[in-house]
Amino acid sequence: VSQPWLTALTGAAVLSAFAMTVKHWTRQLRPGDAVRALAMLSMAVTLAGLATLLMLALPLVGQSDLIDDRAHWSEAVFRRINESGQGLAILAAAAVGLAALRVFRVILSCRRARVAANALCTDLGAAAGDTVIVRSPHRDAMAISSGIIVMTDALVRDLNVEQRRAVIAHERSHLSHDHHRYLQLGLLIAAANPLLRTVPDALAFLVERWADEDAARATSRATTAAALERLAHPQKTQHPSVLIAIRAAATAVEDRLAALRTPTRPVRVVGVLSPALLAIASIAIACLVAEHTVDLFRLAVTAGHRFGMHPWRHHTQMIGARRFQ
Amino acid sequence: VSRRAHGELEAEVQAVLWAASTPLTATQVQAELGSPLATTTVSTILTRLVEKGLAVRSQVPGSRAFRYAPAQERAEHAADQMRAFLDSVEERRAVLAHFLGRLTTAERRALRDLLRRR
Repeated sequence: VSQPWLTALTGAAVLSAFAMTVKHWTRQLRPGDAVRALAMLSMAVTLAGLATLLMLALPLVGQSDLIDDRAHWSEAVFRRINESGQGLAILAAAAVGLAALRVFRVILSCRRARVAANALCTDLGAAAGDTVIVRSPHRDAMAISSGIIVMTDALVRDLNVEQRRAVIAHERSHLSHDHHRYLQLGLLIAAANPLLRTVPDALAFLVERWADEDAARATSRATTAAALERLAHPQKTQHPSVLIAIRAAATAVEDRLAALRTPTRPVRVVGVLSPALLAIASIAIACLVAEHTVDLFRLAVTAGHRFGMHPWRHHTQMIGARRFQ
Repeated sequence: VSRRAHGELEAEVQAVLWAASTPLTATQVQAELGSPLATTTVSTILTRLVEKGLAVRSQVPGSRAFRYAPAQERAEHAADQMRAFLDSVEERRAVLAHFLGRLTTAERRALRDLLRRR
């Protein structure tokens, strides 16, 4: 019988490796592919992680008086096999409960946010597809998930026709590819699994890169970079606290500029393989734990059966027969 | 022209109106855009912008042509509404998932301050 705590530790290590390498491998792919790959893989490893935790927590169910009285599982067997794993089972159950609570809170706040964003668009008197220009001395542009683009008049005046076209194409890309859904998925994943807390920021960066590439296709890489540069440079009118925030984000913008200035590179195999291997590893761990859990239950059921207490004798024999055929 | 392309053209035409210092005719807007669009297409877009209240128009004296200008008051109002909205939200990260753009989370926090400090 494998050591469940060892399996759990390995799983945590694999997840951490996945989270730490996200920034590296996603840049080997085209941004759109990277967003989809990261969303799918991190969802897969999150589900595998949750499944692992659930299975580690299962012995608690087997030991509870309520279930034991009805199923006639051998409590002694559970206790003996799982003496070392009891603490782990309690931890795992607590982790699953906490994850469920955090996910629930994110779902609620995402729903409230959607309602608020829609209400804002109604207030602005704008329908999906409209662009609203806001009077502000600061150069800025954004897309609201309800289908509206907002630009400041300062930005519009500062850019030429082609650069404006790049900004509009960038914001359109956010809307037409439903980028906000990926960001919400990132929040859910980080809530379900704190080991993956780098995922939301990685997704936020990648959807910007995705939109940059779409803008570059609509105009040119140079035009898009020029427009982004006009947006990136902090303006003198800005308040000091704002400047600090912008400086913190400046590295991300610099990275995007650098990506726009380098011609598209061929996709490297390592960029595809390493995350896939990590995802497979975490799913394999979930399967290992599943096997361990099934074995544990089978043993307990068989032991209970041997003492002649099992009411589902026939059923158990059927399962046994099928397995050894 | 598809619906999406219409949205993009509306945005570009609005930007041209805002970038200009004086009201423009449809022909002038078309020249500014520098794209092979028919004047009638530009006129249609301008009419739609007026209907939506995103632009205002006035007749050129002694002519049947119209000049178009951005809806300044509406833009002021929109800034107020954005500011009020960003002040009212509490769950920042979830809300910001709905506001995509060049901004990162740190910058978006700054956006709220920007709009407040006009």
